[in-house]
Amino acid sequence: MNKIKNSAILILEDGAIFHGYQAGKKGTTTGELCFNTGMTGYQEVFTDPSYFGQVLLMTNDHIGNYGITKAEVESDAVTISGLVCRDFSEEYSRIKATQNVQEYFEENNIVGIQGVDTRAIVRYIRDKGAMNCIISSESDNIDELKAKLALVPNMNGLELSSKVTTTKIFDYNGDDSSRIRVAVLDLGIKKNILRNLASRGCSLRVFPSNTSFEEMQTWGPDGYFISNGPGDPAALTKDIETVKQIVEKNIPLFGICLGHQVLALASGISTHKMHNGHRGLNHPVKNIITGQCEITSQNHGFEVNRNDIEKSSIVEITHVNLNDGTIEGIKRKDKMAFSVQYHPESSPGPHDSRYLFDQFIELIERSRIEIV
Amino acid sequence: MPKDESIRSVLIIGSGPIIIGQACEFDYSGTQASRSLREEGIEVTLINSNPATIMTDPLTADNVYLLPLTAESIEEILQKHQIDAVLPTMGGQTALNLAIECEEMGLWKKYNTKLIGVDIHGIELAEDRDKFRALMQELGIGTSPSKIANSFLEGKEIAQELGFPLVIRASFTLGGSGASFVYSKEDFDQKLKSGLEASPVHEVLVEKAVVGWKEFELELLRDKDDNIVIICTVENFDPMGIHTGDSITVAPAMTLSDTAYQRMRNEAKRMMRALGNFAGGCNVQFAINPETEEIIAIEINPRVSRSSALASKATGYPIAKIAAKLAIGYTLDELKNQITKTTSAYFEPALDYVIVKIPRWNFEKFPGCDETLGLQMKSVGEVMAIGRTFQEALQKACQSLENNKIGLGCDGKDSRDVDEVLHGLKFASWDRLFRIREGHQTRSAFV
Repeated sequence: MNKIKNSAILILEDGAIFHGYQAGKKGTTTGELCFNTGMTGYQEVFTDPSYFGQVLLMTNDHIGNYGITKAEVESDAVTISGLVCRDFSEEYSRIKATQNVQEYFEENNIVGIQGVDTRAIVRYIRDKGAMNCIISSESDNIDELKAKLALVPNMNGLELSSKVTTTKIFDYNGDDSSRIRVAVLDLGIKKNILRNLASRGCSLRVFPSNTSFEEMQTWGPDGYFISNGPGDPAALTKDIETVKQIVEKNIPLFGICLGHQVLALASGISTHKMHNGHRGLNHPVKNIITGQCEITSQNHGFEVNRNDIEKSSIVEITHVNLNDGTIEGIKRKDKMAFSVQYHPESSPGPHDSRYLFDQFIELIERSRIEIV
Repeated sequence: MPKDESIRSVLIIGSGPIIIGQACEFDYSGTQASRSLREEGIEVTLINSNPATIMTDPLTADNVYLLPLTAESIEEILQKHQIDAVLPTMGGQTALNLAIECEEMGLWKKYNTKLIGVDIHGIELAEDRDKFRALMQELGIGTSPSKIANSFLEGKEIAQELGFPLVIRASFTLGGSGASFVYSKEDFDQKLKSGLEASPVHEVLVEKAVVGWKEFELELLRDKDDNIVIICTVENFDPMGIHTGDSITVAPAMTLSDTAYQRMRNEAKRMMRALGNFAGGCNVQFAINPETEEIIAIEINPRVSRSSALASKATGYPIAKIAAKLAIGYTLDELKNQITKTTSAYFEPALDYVIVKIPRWNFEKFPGCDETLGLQMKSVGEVMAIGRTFQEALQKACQSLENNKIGLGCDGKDSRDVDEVLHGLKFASWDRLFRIREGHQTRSAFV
C-alpha cells in the first residue's frame, strides 16, 4: 500500500491507448483481449488452459483479496498471457493462502496492468469486438509497441491445443478394469473435469491432442471425453476426424466447450467466432429437455451455428443461453453423444450443472447393458 | 408457465411501526410488491398499522387498511373483501408471525384464502431454532453447538455443558432483541432471565459463541419450478458477534474464495429447498472459520429482509418486485430482466463496483444507554455508498455519516492515546472503524 507504482500502458489493435500501473512482473506481453465477469475464483481463471494466448480483463474490482492458495489451481501453469484489472491487491485476507498475487505473478512471469478504467475498456471491446492488445510496464515507446502488436496472430483459425495438451499419456484415478474406463482427449483440460469424473468412479486415461482413434481404442474405453481448450475449433482437423470415428462406432461421448465445438464440427455443424465471447460465472442457461434453468460458468469465444443445427437431421439442441439465445448444448439423435458449450465442472463457478457428469455415466452404463 | 389465474385479489401484510431493528426496508418491499401485483391486474389490499409509510398511500394499493396488525383486523378485512391469496413475506417477521397466528386460528381456511410465497411449515422450520438445528443436522450442514431452554434451570444446565463464551437468543423476536453474549458465569443468570422474558413463547437458545468468524449473507430467489438464482453476496466487515444490522456490510463479498463461496451457494440452495415448496425471496447467513474455513449456517429467512433491500439497491435487481411475481406463479426465466428489458430475470448480477453500507447510531439521544455493539441491533439508520474500489466506497460512506468527521481520517483528530484506542478496539461501538484506523496509525506504539 502507498507504494510508488511503475506506470504501464495498454494498447489495443485499433490504436486505443489506456494508461495505468504495473501489476505482476515488469515486462511486455501480447494476446487477444477478453473480459471475465466472475466475482470470485480469479486463481482458477488464471490457470484455466482455455485462456491460453489471451489477455484477461477482470471486471471485478479487486483481484488478489484472498491471496493465492496452491491447492486451487486448474492446471500446473498460469495460462493467461496477461491481466488487466482495476485494483491488484497485494494485501490479502485468508489464513490458508500462501502468497500474494504479486509474488505469484512474478514467479510465473505474468505481466499485467492495473488502475485502468476496466468498465470503459469493456464497453469499448463490447462495441468493437474482441481484439488483440499489448501491455507493457517497461517501455513507453508507443510506435515500437504497436509494431510488436501487429505481429500477434488473429485468434481466427489459430490452433492452440497443441500448446497446452499433455505431452504424454497418463492415468488418473488408477487403471482398474472393474471401473468405468473413460478415454480423455486433452485439448487443454481443466483439472476439475478429471476430479469430477474420478469422483464418479471412473478410471481415466488422458491422451494428447492429435492421438488417433485406433490408439485410444486399444485401451478399451467404455466412453470418451473431449475436453475444453483454447483456440479455433475448426483448426483441429485431426481431432474432429477422431471424434467422427468415435461417434460412428456409437461409443458414449461427452464434450465440454472446445470438445462441444469439435463434436458439432464432426456432425456437420459449422462454428464461428463470436463478436465477444462469454466469459463469467453467471450465464443463465435453460435445459430445454427438462425445462430447468442453471447458472453456468463459461469461457468461450467461438460458437456453433444454430442454422446448421436446425437444418440437421442428426443433431438436436438441448440447452440455450437465456441472455442471447446462443446454443449451449447439443446431442446426437442417432448416437450416444452429447456436449455442452459451458463448464459443468465449474471451477470457478456455480455447481448447478454437475448433473451432466452423472448423465454421462448413466449413458455409459446403459450402453454396457445394451452390449451385454 | 404463466401466472396462476385463480388469484385475482391479494392481501399484503405490512410490518407495523418503525422501531430499532426494523426500519423502512419493509415499506420499500411492500410498496414494490404492491405495484408489481397491480401491474398484473390483481386487486391489492394492504394492511399496516403504521400510517407513516409509502405503502399506505392510497395510490399504492386498491384498498388500504390502517389497522392494528392482529388476527381480528385480518378477519375484518377477509369479511369485507374476497381475498384469494395473502402474501406475508413482504412485512418482515411481524407479518410472518401474524400469518402463522391466523393459520393456527383457521382463518385462511375459513375464508378460502391461500398463503402464497411461503410455506407455513417452512416459517416454523426457519424460526424455531431447535427445528432449524435439527434440519441442518439432517442436511449435513454445520451449525454452532446449541440447545433450547424453556426454563431457567434448563438454561443453567446447558451453559454448564457448553462452556463460555455463550450466546443467548430468544425465539421469535425481532432484530435480535433478547439476545446477548455471556462471557462469564456472573452475568449469565440475569441475561438468561431477560432472554426468556423477551421471547413470546418463553424460550431461548443457548449457543456456543463463534466470536471472530467471518460472516456472509446470500440473497436468493426461487420460482415454483425450483429455479434458483443468487442475487448478491454480502460480506460483513464486522465479524460474528455484532448484529448484521449493526455491521458495516460490503457487497459483493470481498474476501471469499470461489471454493468457499460455491460451498455456501450449494448449502443455501439445499436449505431453501428443505424449507418446503415456496416461491420468492430468501436470505441465508453463514459464518466461516478463518483458520479452518469450516462453514456453519447461522440462519435462513424465507422472506425479503433488510439485506434484500440493500441487495436490490446494490445490484439494481428488484428483489421484492420479482418475488411478488414469483408468488403468483411466474417462473424466473419467463420474467423480464428489469434492467436490460430484453433478457430474462433468471440471471445473477455481476458487479464491477463495490457497495459499502455503514449503520448510523443515535446514542447521543439515549443518554446512559450501553453503547457497545453486540447481538441486539441498535442502529437507527444507515448510509450506502458506491465506489469503483472498496476504499473509495468506504470513504464515501464515511463522508456521508454526518458525524462531523468529514470521512475516515480526514478531520485530523485521530486519537493517539493507546489505551483509548485499545479500549475502542476491544469494545466495538459506533466509532470502531475510526478506532481501527487509529490502531493502524499508532501501530508502532503497540510493538
